[in-house]
Amino acid sequence: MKLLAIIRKNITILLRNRLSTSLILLGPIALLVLIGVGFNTNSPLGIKVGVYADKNSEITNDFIAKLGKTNFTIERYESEQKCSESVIKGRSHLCIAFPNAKNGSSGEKRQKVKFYVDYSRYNLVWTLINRINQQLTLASNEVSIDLTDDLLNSVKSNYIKLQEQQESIKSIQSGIDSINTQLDSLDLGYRFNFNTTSMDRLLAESGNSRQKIQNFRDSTISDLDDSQAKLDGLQAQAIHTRAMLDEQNSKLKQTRKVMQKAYDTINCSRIDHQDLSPYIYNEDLFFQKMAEKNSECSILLTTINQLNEYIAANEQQIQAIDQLLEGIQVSKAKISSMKEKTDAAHKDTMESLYYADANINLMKSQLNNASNELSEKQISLGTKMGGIKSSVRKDSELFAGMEADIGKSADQLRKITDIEPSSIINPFTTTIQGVATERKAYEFMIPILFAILITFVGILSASTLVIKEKKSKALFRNLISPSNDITFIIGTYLTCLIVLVGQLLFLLLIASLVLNVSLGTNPLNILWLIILSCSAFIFIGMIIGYIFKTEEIVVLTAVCIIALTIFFSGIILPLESIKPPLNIITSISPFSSTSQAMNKLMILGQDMQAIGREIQDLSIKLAALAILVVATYKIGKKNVI
Amino acid sequence: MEPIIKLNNVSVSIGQKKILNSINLEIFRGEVFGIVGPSGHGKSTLLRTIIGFLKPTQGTIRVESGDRQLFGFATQDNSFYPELTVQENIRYFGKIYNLKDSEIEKNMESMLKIVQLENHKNMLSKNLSGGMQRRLDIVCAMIHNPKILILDEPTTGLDPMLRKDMWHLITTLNSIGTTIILSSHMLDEVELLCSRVAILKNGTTRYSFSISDLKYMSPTQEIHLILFPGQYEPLAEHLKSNSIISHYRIEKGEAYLYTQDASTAIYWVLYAAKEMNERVLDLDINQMSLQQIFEEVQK
Repeated sequence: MKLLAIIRKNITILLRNRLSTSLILLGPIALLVLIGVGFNTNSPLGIKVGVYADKNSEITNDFIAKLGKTNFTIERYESEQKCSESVIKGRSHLCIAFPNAKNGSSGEKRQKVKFYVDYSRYNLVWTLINRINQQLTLASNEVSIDLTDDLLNSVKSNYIKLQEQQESIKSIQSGIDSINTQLDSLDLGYRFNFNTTSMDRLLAESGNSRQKIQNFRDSTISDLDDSQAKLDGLQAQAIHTRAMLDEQNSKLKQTRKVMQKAYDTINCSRIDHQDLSPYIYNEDLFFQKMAEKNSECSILLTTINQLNEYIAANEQQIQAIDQLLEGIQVSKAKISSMKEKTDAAHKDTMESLYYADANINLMKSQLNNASNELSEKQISLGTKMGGIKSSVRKDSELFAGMEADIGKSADQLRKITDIEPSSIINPFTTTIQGVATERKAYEFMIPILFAILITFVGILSASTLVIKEKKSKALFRNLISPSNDITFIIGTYLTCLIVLVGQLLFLLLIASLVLNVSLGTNPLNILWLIILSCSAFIFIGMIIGYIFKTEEIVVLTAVCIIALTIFFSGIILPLESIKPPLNIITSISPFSSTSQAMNKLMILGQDMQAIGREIQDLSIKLAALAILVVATYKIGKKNVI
Repeated sequence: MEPIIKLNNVSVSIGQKKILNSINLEIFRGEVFGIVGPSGHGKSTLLRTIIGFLKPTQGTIRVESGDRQLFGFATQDNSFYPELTVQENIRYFGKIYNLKDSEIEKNMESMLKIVQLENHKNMLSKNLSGGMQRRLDIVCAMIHNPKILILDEPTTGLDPMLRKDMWHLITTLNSIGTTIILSSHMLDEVELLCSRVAILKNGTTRYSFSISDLKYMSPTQEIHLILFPGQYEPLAEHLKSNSIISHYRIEKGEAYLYTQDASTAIYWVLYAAKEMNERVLDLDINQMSLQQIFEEVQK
């Protein structure tokens, strides 16, 4: 509500001042009307062209006649000097000095047409030169046509010769193609691959045999060792048994000896009566004793006999054992001999097998070497053959390229011979096609005009409003009120924005309805752009107002800033011709962004996306300016205190 | 009684320059407080400091409420927009002071009645007379019903009649409960309107006292006399010899007589003039005590 009160107060004060109201409202309308009326055509009315030329030259006369038909006022001068002086004195806008007729028609030397111009009339000069150059080009073209005709005849004969050469090259290329085909048919892809599988199988079988032989030898030796061990056991047992029998026999012989002794002792072979003498006197006893002695001798004899039998049996057994031992010894010797023989046989067999393996491996290795050598030779041959084929193919392509080039050249020459000489003189017939639809001159000026209006009114109105407020006695009451600084800054900004945007919308309406000026695809886009642009220039005006203390200095500064802005905007001088560091002014000023964006929207009919860069540029400047506005307001407030 | 405003050792500098130096003041609710002093000795700065527009570089200011709505400020230059009408100005400042429309209308009606501008509310402010403009300025200062009204040189540039009107207005505003602080270099005005007064010199208060104390402080009163044909000396000598006046001076055909009791002396002056066949063209009694103090301060 405070903002509303501030805006209402500002606008009321503005409207109560009749002079400012009329200036703000009527000034821009008057400007629009004047431009609308003044630039309602694009013909070069009232432009005088001074001409110095030889009156005998038909070409020159023809050209001057054509120039006269394009609304230029032609004035002929007797000398080149007078013609150039007419430009200096302001009687002509431009002087054209043509070369003499005899030189102009020779066609041997390039002739120069001189333009005398006044560069101080910057924009006019280039417009005139462009227009007159167009006419001049037409005239010089006619001279060139005859020369071109001769040139075309020469080209025709060259075309025929080229066709003949093309046929010759075609036949050479055909021969090369045939060689190429034959080379392609050669098969160098055979792979030398000797089969060593049977050798590998032999090696494997030999390995297996070796293993089997080894196994057989090991089992045989093992069996013989077992037998030998058993024989050793048997031999030991037999020796032990024989020893026992010997011992037993010895004991038996000892016993027999004892028995024999006893027998002898007893004297069983005779009866010793003395022994029985004690008993002679007792017959019974004697007989009894006699009987007893006979019995004992009998037993002893029986025992001795039995012992003899035993000894004889033992000796037979010992003899058998001895025979067995001999047999065992023989068997052991045989087994040892068998083992030796088995080892010898095994060794011989294994050596033979190893020898066979070595031979097989040697053969295999020799086969592989032979295979590799063959493969290398084959690859080398393939590479060499590839090189030959590549060379042949390149030659073929070269000839094909030559043939195509000659064909193209011949074709181009044929086309040239088909062209009219006049078409060669003017290979391009120019038609100027604007990127925007063709309009009246003032329509193209509308975006620039609006940008100028925004600059003028934005800066002036804002700076004036601010300085008036600063000079107002009511300022103190505003400052001591419980309203913050930003409220007054926004109030001032919005007042200027409403006035300026309202005014521009009013002008746009008039331009659209009365002068049929296009407002682009979406008039709302223009509104947004106007608000952004106006804000930037209003901020500049506010900064000026806040910085300076008197109305006179504020107005002077504002006018200087406006003048600088417009001077460095591309209206008076092309932006490209402004050198650094002065072109910084152009980049700082929001004018170029505004006018470019206006042009894109209103003339080129583009949308908001197309002016994204300008909008971004304006937004950044706007933010920076807003900060400056607040800063300068604070400084200005300190000065009031 | 608690003061509504209390300044304690307040100093204010602007830039390198010290404008106010160790000011001590107490202002009470409902009084009319005068600040007198020669031009350029810091009266306006003191007032601006009291309302918080300037920040003290030293000392403290204690007000009853820190709200800016507490104060109304009428400047000596009429702080309003001359291009707006009376009511447009009042409405604008009402909005700036956060008042609702209904409040603005209500306050405007009553204030315009008090300052007798109700019939001129649609006039452009620049077309008002000097007195009307001064009154409009006071309305603008009072639109938000402040408790304290500050008047900076309220009668400067006004003719005697308008001055009296302004005095009346000030009295009226005070009578409705508004505490008034006024600065002036017109001592008669201060004497007439203020209950208490502070004298400012070189940015510091030299005296601060109540007007009732003046009688004790004032040595004399002044009778300003214009006679025809103007034989002042015999008259003055006669009065002096009879101890009616203590001394006198004659300047530019006018006489200034000084006495302890002007109300009694005036009869003797009129009687003596009649006796000496002198016609009294003008006679004023001036309370010279404040003037004398003021002059004393200047010395």
